[in-house]
Amino acid sequence: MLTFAAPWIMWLAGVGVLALGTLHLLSVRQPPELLLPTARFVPDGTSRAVARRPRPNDLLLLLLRVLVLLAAAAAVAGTRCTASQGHTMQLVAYDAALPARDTVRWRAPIARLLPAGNTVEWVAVPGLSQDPGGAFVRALQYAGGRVLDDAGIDSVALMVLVPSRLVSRRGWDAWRGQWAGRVQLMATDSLDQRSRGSEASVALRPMDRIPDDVVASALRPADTVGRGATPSREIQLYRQRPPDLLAMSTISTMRELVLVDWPIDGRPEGWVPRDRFDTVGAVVARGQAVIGPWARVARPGAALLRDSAVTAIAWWGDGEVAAVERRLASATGAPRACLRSVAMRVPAGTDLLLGTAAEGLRRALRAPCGGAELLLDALVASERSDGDRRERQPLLRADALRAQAPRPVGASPPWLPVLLGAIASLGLLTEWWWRRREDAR
Amino acid sequence: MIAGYGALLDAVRGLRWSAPHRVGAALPGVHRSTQRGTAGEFTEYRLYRPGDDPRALDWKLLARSDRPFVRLTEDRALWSTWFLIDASASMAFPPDARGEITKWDVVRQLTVGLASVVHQAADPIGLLMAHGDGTVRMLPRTRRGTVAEIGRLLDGARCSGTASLAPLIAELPARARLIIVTDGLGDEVALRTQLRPLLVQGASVHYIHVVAEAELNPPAGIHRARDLETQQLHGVLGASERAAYLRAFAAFRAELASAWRALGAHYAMVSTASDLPRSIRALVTGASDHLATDAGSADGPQG
Repeated sequence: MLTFAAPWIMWLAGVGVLALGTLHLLSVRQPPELLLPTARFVPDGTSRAVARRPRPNDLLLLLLRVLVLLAAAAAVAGTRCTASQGHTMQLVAYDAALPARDTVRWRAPIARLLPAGNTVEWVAVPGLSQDPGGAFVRALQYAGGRVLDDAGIDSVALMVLVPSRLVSRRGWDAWRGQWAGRVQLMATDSLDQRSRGSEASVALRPMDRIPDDVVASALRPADTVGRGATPSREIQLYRQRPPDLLAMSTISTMRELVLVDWPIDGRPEGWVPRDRFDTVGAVVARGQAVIGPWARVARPGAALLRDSAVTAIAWWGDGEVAAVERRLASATGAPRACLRSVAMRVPAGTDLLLGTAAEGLRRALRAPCGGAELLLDALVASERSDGDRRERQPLLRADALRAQAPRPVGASPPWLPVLLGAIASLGLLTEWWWRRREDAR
Repeated sequence: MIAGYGALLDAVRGLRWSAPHRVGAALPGVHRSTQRGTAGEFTEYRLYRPGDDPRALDWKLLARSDRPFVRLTEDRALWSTWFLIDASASMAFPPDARGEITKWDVVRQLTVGLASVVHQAADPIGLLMAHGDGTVRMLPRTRRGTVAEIGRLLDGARCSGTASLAPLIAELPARARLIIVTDGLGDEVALRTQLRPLLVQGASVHYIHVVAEAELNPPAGIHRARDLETQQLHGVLGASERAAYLRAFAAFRAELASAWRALGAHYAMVSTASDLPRSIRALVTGASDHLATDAGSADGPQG
């Protein structure tokens, strides 16, 4: 397959070929001269229109001139010669934080899923498990460089390896439009043959009997677990006393345990009381802010902030941390657990925590430990609906990537312009010799 | 025997080219002289008139007839032959002969052959050859080697330029045989004008029109005709123009023949395909005149 660094030169050559052919076949030829002493007896007439039917030699001469013109243009246009058949490059994007043993283990099952003949290349993407949007950025960078190096690539396919639960899809939604082809999403959990839990199997268990507790009402999941069914995640709400972390080892049937320490006075354990506190503020979580008569009575202590197992999950409007999550070390066989401490004093009788503005806070407190609550299925569903709606092409065309990149300079292989120039020169010599022979005839 | 002309000279050996009429008094030769004397071949008796040379009386006849008769004899004289040769550029046609015979080859062969015939009668032979670089002259001579000299002059000549033959007529004597060898594409009208007085005075003019086969039958195809001598570009010679060209050239030849004959000259056309010994024989015997009817045809070559 031939490609050109300056294809416009070849287009010009094509126009030249058309003009050459038109002139060659339609031009009027002057007849050869004949020296004749009795030329005076030749009747005077037009000496221009001689023959409009091209001789076979004219067609051969035309072919020769076309060859010379195309060879000269190809020599100047930076011709690049590659394998005649294009192929598809399959990119597999995975989280750069994953252990190498996982990616090695996954190569065989993924290769079985991919079409034969595709070249598979693995691309590490930082933070892919949090938000898969980074895969598009890295894939575009990687593919853009590869298609310039390998002119045999005519299309690019993308597979993204993501866990079943994701923290955010903002990056995915923001960058999705940059990738023109469809994207194949593959759950790493399925590769490891792990089962994914249902969002519906979450239960709230208030540990303190407080009648009409608005916090408990806010944290209760919309779908309740059926009687006798075992939830996959239990949220234990502590309002009057802090949770007993030592007693967690007795719980063996839960997959995941979320301890929410939300004291009524707004001072969780480990937080430092404030001398002066606000009574009205805004609390931001998961991109949503809820404004209400929340009293900020405590702030996180220095030890809490230095703890590497602690992450902030909610903030006051001025940026101060309002709620944190601490990952709890679990023994073998014990459920995954975390402790979420909330330093908000909620006045009695308010129902602001039940409104839509507090959805972010509720999700942050109900989310699985680590925060990942988005399921891959939702992403796959949106990908499928987008694909149907937009009728995307199955694969990203490599030409589109090449068009965005600066055109490569020079020919490939390097000796090709010399060869083409030699062909053009030889053609000119041949034409010169041919015309001399025609004139001498 | 000069090289290259051996076969031709052998073919024309023994030919005699007598003068068509009595020539003027001159050195003794083979041609009948206008002068009658007491020497030479007996022709008739004439009654004696006062003033006749008494030595011419035939005494025996006087004794038999008692009447004086004078014995008359016929004198023979030499008659000069001049060759007027056209060596212009058009005579070197076809230009790239590649084994073909050019008009100049015909001129050389004809001239040497005719000169050989004339030389056999011991007549003086002179030559005037006009070409682009000037004129070559050879005064009349009868000595041995004259034909060879003529051959060398012709072989060494180069056809070039435009040759005018008319001005050379002034150098020719009135009572001589003039043999003009040309292709007729030069100053024909002036040439005839200059020759008219000589013809009146008794010159015998032989006009040999040399044409090439390629002129009578140009190559097929479509060509732009360019004059070989003037290098002027003329019309296109294609299939449709070919017939007109042949007609025009035939008409020219017919007109040329008619004009020369009307002048009192002998006209003969010789082509590059002609059998030259036969053509020479026809010229010498006078049979070439009977070929004049073919000179006007478009089929050409004759001789």
